[in-house]
Amino acid sequence: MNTDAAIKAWFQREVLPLAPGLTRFIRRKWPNESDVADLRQEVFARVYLAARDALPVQAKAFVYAVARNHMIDIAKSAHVVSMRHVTDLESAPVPADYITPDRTLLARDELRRLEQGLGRLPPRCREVVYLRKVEGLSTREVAEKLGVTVNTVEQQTLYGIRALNDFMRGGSGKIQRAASVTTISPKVVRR
Amino acid sequence: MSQAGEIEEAAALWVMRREEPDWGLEDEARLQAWLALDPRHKVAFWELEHSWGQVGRLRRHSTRHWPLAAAGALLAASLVLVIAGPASLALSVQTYSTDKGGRQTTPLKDGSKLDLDTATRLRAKIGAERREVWLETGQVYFDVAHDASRPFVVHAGPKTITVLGTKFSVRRDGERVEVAVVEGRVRVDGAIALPGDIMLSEGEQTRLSLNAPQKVANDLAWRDGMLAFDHATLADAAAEFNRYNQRQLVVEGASTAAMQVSGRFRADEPEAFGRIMNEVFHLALRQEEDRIVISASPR
Repeated sequence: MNTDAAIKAWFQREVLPLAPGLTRFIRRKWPNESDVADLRQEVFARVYLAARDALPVQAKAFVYAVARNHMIDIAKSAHVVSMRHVTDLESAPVPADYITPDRTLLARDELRRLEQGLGRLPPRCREVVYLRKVEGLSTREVAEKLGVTVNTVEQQTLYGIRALNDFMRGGSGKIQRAASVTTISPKVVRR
Repeated sequence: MSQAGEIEEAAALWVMRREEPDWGLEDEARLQAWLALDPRHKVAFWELEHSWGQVGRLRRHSTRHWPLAAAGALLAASLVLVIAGPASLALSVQTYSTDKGGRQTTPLKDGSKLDLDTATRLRAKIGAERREVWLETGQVYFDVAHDASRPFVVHAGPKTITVLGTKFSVRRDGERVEVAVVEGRVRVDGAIALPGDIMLSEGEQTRLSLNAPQKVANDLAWRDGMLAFDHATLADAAAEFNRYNQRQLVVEGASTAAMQVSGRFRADEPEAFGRIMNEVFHLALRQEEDRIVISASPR
């Protein structure tokens, strides 16, 4: 049984760099684009649950196999797609680890995408991200420095966190925003 | 919005809130409860925490990383400083250091107290909003005066340690940083360490030993002028002595260097340590002018 700390380190080092390729893999194999984000998150959750028993030696082969099996399970149980699609999925090849690019190369790709993502953030958002991450200022300090409300800084920060993550994982940085963060904040945040 | 989007939005909120200086034990408990609720929460949080952490790695002065924003932010910063008046500009940075074998206790003007171990060098800046220490090299025990309005931040090479008021030690050798917590809570980058925990990071690798009070006590033996080993190799033990003394311990032979030693020894008496190795392990001892050489017995 692995501890969460061990799984987390493995997940961040070995699994997250696979995200761009995994997303493309799911998109190719699944008919509905609107399900892709959910599928990807469910695949990661299943990878996590499996990793509690044992950390797979070959991360890439394992993650893709989980993705394929998960899509087959969903397709069968929800009857959302034809059996033909299930058969296609079952015969889909899963990449083996020996053709995985070096992990350090993947990590470098991540950083490169992150850099590009920074340049594409809206200027105000980028400024907030800069003040928080480089200057180390708190939300309140950023708000005072820029002469804006705490709420504005929080909105910009949340957008920055998600957009930069999306860039880093191979997306376009376009983030859907909820109507208002306050609709979810009472559940998770003490104010 | 998809469920994945909603979970990600909540995870982003946690990542953001956790960085705030007023983040407390209660918040941490709530976060842990949320994470335990659904494995999707956990993976979403880990993902955002990781990528957000990477942003901090893009360096400060690189205009490549921070086009436009950097200039704007710096401008904003300097304007505020001017308005705030000369008081905040006049903040001086104090430098403290010890030589090899030295040890020194230094009070800071906020009431905190620092114990500097051998060959240590640091700079400290106690401001109205923040208290900051830059550990350049060596080992320091921090007894931080509680002040919820002024976080105490220790920069140790690649690591940033943040506390409000607590007791802990930090040792830095280049990129290798070790934090041992005695009292209170210590945040090392994103991770929280509690009393009895030790965080050791080297390059990209970070290991957290939870609930290891004996190891913490061993790490702090230097404050009594002692070195404490628990199954240390002879090579590592010798290297520890050599941080404190001009007269260097040298261990010859790979198998001798790999032998394990445990116990407490006076840091300033490598001779005594050599004698014990000779008596207990029957190792050969050769006294030279500025060295003590330990090697396998000739027999």
